[in-house]
Amino acid sequence: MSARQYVTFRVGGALCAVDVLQVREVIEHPGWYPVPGSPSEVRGLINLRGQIVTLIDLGLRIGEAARETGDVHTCVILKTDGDVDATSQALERTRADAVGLVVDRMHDVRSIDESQVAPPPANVAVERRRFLDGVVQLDTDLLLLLRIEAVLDLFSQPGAQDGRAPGSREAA
Amino acid sequence: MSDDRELLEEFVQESRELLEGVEGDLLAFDAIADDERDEVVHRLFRAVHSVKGAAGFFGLRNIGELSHQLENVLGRVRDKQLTPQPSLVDTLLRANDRLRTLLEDVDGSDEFAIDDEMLALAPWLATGDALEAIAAAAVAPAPPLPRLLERPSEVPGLSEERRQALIGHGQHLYVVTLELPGDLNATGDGALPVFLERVASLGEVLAVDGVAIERVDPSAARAGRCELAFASILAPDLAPLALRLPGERVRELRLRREEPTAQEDAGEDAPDAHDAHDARPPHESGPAPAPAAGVRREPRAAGREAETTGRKADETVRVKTSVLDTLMQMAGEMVLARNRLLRRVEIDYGAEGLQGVIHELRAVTSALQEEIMSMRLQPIGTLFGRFHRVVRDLGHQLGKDVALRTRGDDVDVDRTILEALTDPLTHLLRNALDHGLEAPDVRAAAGKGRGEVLLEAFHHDGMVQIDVSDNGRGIDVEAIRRSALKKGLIAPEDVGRMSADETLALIFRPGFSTSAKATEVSGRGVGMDVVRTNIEKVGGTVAVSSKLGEGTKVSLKLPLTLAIVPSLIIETGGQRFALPQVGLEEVVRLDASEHHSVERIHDCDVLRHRGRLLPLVRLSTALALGGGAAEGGPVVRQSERVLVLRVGSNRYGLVVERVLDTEEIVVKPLSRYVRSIRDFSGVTILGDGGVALILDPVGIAHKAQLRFADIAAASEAEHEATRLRASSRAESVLLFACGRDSRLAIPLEQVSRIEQAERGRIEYVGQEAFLEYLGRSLPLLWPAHALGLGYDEDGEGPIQVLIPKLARHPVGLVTSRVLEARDIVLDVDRENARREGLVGSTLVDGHIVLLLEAHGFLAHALPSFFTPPDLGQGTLRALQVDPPSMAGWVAQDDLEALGMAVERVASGEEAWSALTADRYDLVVTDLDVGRLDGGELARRMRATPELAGVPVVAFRNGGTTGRDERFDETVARFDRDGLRRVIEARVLQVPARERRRVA
Repeated sequence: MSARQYVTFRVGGALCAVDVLQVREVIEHPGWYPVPGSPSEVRGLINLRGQIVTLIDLGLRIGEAARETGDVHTCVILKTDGDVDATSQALERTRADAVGLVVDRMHDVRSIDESQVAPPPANVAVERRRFLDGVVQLDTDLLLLLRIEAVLDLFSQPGAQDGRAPGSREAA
Repeated sequence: MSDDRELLEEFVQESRELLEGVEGDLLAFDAIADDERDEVVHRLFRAVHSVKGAAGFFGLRNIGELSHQLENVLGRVRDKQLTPQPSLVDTLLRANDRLRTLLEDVDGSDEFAIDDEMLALAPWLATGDALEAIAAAAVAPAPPLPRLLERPSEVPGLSEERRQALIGHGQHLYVVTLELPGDLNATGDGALPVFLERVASLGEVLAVDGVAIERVDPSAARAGRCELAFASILAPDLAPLALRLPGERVRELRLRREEPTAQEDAGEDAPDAHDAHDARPPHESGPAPAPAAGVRREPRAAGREAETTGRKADETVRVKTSVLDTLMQMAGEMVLARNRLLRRVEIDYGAEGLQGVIHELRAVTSALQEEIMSMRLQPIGTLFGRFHRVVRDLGHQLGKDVALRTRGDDVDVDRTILEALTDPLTHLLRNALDHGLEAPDVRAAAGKGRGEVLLEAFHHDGMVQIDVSDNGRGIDVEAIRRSALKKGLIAPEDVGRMSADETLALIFRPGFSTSAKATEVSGRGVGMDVVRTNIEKVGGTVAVSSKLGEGTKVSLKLPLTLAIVPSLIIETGGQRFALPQVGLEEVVRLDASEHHSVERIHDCDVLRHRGRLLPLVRLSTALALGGGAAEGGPVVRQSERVLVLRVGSNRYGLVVERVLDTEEIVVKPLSRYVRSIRDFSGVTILGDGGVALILDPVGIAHKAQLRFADIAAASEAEHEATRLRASSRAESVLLFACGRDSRLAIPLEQVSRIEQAERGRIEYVGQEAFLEYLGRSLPLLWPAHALGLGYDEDGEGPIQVLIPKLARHPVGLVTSRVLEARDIVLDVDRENARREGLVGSTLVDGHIVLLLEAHGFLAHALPSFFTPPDLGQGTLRALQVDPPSMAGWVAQDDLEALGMAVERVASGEEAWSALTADRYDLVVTDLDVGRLDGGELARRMRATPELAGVPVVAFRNGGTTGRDERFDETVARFDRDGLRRVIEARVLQVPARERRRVA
C-alpha cells in the first residue's frame, strides 16, 4: 500500500534511488556542452528535443565520485514544474529549470515499501546526510534514497558559493 | 468561489482599461472640437458607469461611491449643465486617479479614504441642485438619452444559459430602436403590442426599454423612443428588412466571447442608473446591470462602433499575453526545427522533390513567425499616450507651460521592449521638464516661446529609435566637465583630452548624477545611469546631444524584439558561442603586416584601429578555456578575428578563433545553476541542434576587468603624443572667454594669479577702471575691447581677473570666464590674426582662439606704461635656436623690437651649420633643441675660436632660476625685461669693432 516505485542507478560506489514520479526519462550518451565558469557540479547543457537541460554531476554533488572530466554516459532527466501534475502534487515544487542527473549506470525500477526505509546510518558523513531521505538495506547493497531538492539546491550549501564541490568524500 | 475571483479580476482588468481611456479623453478635452465633444462625454459617462455598475455588483463600496459621484458630474457635463473647464477637468482627473488606485487593490479598496475626491466633486453637483430641478421641469420631454444597451450582458433576462442557447441555435441578438408611435404608424399597425405580435414569428423580444419582457405591460401607453432586445435567427442584413425598419435602427449585439454574468434581475436598475439626474445616494445604486468585466471586446472600439458609424470595426479578440508568449516561443522552436531540417537537407541533398517542400516550409515558417511576432507588437503610441498626463502634471508642479508632442505613434514595438521603455522615458521626460526647460521668465527673456518636449519614434537600421528632445537650455559641457572633475570621475589631466561628446557622455556614468542639486550641472544627469542600464539591459543604446541654449536630445536605440536575435556564431576553444549583432561594430582580420598595430598599455593588449586604441580581450582567456596567444607569437594570429564590440560609449576587441556563420537565434534563459555567470546572457539551439551560449559583451568586459577610462586616457594621450611628435610641441595655456564670444589664450607661464571679484567692486575713475587688490588699485583692462574685438560689458555675476606675471606694473585683465588650463598644440596662424598685442590664432576644440602674450598686449593696450626702449640699432644679427613656440615668437618679437635681425632655426645641428657659415652677434637658444642640445652647442662654440666670443643666452625652463655655467646668460621665457638687459649688457655695450674682430 505504502510502497512506491523507485528508479535505481549506480553512481561511483553507491546505489541510489529516485522516486519514479520525479523522473521524466533516462537518456544515454547525449551530446553535451560545457558552460565555462559554471560550478563544477554543472557538467553542461544538452538539447533535449528543443529544451535546454542542465546536467548536474550527481557523483560529484553527493561526494561519491571525483569525475570532473570524461563523457556523460547516462542522464536521469527529472521532471520540471510543468511536468509535475496532479498525481504527484505531493512532490515539492522547486524545479522551474529542466535538470538531468549524470549517473554511471542504470539499474532496475524497484518497489520499496515505506517500512523498509531506515534513517541514514550514523557512519554516513554529515555532508552527505542532507542529500538522503533514507536508506534501504538490500541483500548486497545499501540503497540510498536521494532527497532531490537538496541535491539540486546548489547554492545554499556551505561552501557552494564558490562553485566547489562539498569537501568530504568519506565512504558510507 | 474561484469563479467569483476570476470575475473580479476581469472586472479590475476591464475597469483599469476603461479608466485609462477616461484619462486619455479627459486630457484631450481642451483640444477636441465641439462636435466631437458630445461623443467624448458620452464615452466618458459610459465608461464610468460601467465601472460603477460592476463595483456595485461586487459590493465594492468605495469604488461604487466614487464612480457614482464621478458619473453624476459627467452626467451634468453631458447635459450641458456644466461646461468643462480646466479646474473641472483637474477634479475629474483626480477622482479618476483615485479610482485607479483603488482598483490596484480592490480587496482593500474600502479601507482607503475617498473623502477628498468626493468633496472635490461635490461642488460641481451641489451648486446646481435647484437649477437641475428647474432644468428638468422646463425641458419636457427630456432630451433623448443615448441608449446604453451595448452588450448581451446588459439585456435583462438574458441568463448565461439562455445566451449559450442562443449561440447554440445560431441566433443573433439585436437592439431595435422604435420611435413611437411614428414607426408603427408607418407600418400601418399602431401600438407596441401589435408590433410585438408581428415580430413574434421572426424571433423573440427579450426586453423592452431595459425591462425583461415578462415584466412588461405591452399595453401601457408609450411615446418617444423605445428600445427592444430582440433575438432572432435572421442574419444582420435581413433583420431590418423583416422588421420593416431602417438599418440604423437595428443594431446587432455580439453574443460570443461573453463571460457568464450571473445576472438575472438587475434589469430595472439599468435605465435608472443611466440617468444622470438620478439623485439617489450611492449606497442605493444596488446591483449593477452587468459587470463590465464580462466583456471581452475592446471597450472603446465597441463604443464607437455602436454609437457613431455603425461600420464594422475589425473584430478583435483579447488574448492573454502568456498565450502569446507561448505561441512566440513555439514559433521560435519551429524556426529552430526548420533550421535543423534545412541543414540536414543541405548535407544530404535530400530525396527527389524535397527541395521544393523545404522551401515552402521555410517560407511558411518565416511568415508564421513574423505574424506571431507582430501579434506581440504594439504601437508605441500606447506608451507615448501616457506621458501627456505626466507632462501636464509635472508642468503644473514646476510652473512651466510645456507642450508634449509625439511623432511616430504608430511605430510598432514588441511588448517587452515597450515595458522596458516606460521607466527610462519617464525619467527622461522628467529631466527635460525639470532641468532641460527653463523657467517661463527665463524663456521669455531669451525670446523663446512655449517649452516643448518632443517624443519621436522611428525605424532606423532595423532598430527602433526613440528621441526625447526639448527646446530648453541645453547642457553646458563645461559645467559637466567641472562637475565630473569635482566628483573625481575624471582626472584633471583628462580634461584637456575629452571632446565635447565624450564629456556629454559623462552624464551616463554612475555617480555623476548623485548630486541632489542638479542645477549645478545645468540639470541633466539625474539618474541617467539608470536610464542607460535599463536600456542596455534590453540590448539598446543611449546617446545624448545638446546645443547650449537650444536644447537637448536623448536618443534611445532598441531592437524590435527580444525573442529572436540576429547573431554571429563564433568558435573558440572548441566551443561555439553566439554573439548578438547589436553591439557588434565590425569584424577585423589582421594581416601579417598589421601585427605591429597591437601594443601593450597598462598590462592590456590594445589594437590601434581606425585612429583609436582598442583594448583586446581574448575570449578563450576570459572564459578560461585555455588556448591563449602563443608565447612570443603574435597577440592576434592571422587565422583569428577581432570582433569590435560596443559597450556604452566604449569599445573593445574580442579575439576569437573563428567566425562561423550568422544565424537568427532564439534566446532561451539560462537555468539558475548558470545564471549568475555574467559572460552569458542566455543560451540557444543552433541549426544543427548544437547548444551555444550567448555571449554578453558587457559581462565579458567586466570579467576581463577592462577599465575603459584608463585605456581611453592612454589612447588619447597616445594620440596627442603622436600629434605632438608630428608637428611641434604643446604649450600650456589658459583659455578664457571675453566679451560675447571671443576666446583667448594666454601662456600659463605668464599668469601670476586669477582673482574673482564682484562687479560692484570695480571703481571707475573717469575712463579708467580699477579694482582694489592687495591694498593697491589694480588697473583693469578688457582684452577684447583693447584688441578692438568689441566691447564686453557682458553678463552679470562675478568677473574673473587675470593678473599677468613679470609686468612691472600689475594690471588686471578682465575675463567673463576662465575656461580651463590645457596643453594645446600650437598650430599657429600668425598672419591672419596678426594684430597688435596678439601672437596669432589657433583652433582649440573647433573654436578659434586668439593667442595673447601679456607683454606685447600690455605694451599695445597701455603704451604709456609699457613702451619698450628703442635701441635704434639695425645691423646686429641674432640666431635664435628653438622649435616654434609662443615663447619663441615673443622672443623673436622682442629681439626685433630691440633692433636685431633675427634668424631662426629649430635644432642644434641647424644652428651649428648656420654659425659656421655666417656671422652672428648673439645666439639665443632653448635647452632642448635635439640631439645637439643648447648646452652642447654652447660648448662647441666655446671650443671654436671664431665663435668663442659670441654670447650665448639660454631660455630657462619655467620655474628654474639661477645661472647655468654653460651659457653666458639665462633668461626666463617671456621675460622681456631680462632679455633686454642681457642684450644691452652683452651685445650693445661691446664696441662694434670688437664685435667685428670676434666675427
